[in-house]
Amino acid sequence: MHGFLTRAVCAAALFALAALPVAQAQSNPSNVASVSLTATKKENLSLSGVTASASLVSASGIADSSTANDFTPISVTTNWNLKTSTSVTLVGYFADPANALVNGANAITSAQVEGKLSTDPVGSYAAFTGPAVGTAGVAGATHSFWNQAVSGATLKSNRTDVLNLRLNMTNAYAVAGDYTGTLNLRAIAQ
Amino acid sequence: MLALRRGLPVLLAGLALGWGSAEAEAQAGATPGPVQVITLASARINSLSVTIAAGSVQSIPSLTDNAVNDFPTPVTIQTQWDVNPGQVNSISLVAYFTTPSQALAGGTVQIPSSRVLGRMTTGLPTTYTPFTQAALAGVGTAGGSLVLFSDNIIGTNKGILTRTDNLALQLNLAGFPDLPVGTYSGTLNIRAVAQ
Repeated sequence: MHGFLTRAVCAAALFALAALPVAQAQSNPSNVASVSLTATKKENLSLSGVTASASLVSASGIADSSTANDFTPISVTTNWNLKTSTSVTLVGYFADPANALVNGANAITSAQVEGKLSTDPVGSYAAFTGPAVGTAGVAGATHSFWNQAVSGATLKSNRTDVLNLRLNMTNAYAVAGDYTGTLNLRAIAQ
Repeated sequence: MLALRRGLPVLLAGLALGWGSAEAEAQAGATPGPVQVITLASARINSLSVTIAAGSVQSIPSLTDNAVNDFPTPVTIQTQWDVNPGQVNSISLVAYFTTPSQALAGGTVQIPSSRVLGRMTTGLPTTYTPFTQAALAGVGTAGGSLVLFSDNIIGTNKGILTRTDNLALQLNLAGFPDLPVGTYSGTLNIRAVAQ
């Protein structure tokens, strides 16, 4: 009788224990370790998509005593992302005002090369005779295509322009031959 | 056998109390379910700590827009624990940002945690993965976390153990609007949790 009772109690106890839910363990976190992250976005001013070369549109070559010496258009995109500047300027310049385009010993001066934005009227053509703008350009051989004020949201922007160039050979003539030169384009933030 | 005999009265008393409680509620007219006994236990640990052995200061000197930017060196993390299998099921390491929408804060533009990627080749994110996961066991923030590893505690890794891992980090700015000029900074929190 005693053995039966013991077995019955043990069975009941095991049954009750089996019915217990599994213990729910709580999480136990460690200390917090920290990693400092820093990333810097620097100021940027660049030109892209610049047309690599341009030549006279006219197949008959340079027209003496005329302004009808248009070059094929030049495309340029100016990109900037600035912080404290107030304006952006696109300038074009020749390294040597006396020798913008040369043909051996013969030269076309920067004063005889004119430029404008394609969106400006023909009357806006101006020679490459201006001063440098800041550190961009060469004195007497520079032309500013545009100057744009920037602030707030426009401190980060871009614009694409088409530049028109021509030779102004009014009261001048060119010795026959191929004239070549390099026009430098540069943007400057001030 | 002696122990069993000594324990029997206690078991009997407990069972009797449980049954008595159920009967009392039945008499009151309610329809009670079986008595539920819930045992709450905390994961007992002797120690659990995280140390940044190297790379606690991460810097990208010049960000590139619309591109993936690597932080130059990995973060070396040492996780040390002293636990027993019967008391702890697993140890996990979680890295997280407190505010997912502002993982790295700038002046007017913030870089969210979805743009910060982490990779631990010795852990769970073996490829670069954004910090967009949920918190784990109360550690981390919803949508701003990344579980770096989760080790089951068994006989072979019980006791005092130190694990060292390298966490590589990236900023993925591909498709993200160009950032204004400035410095973007934030804090990545790393914490281990025993469950």
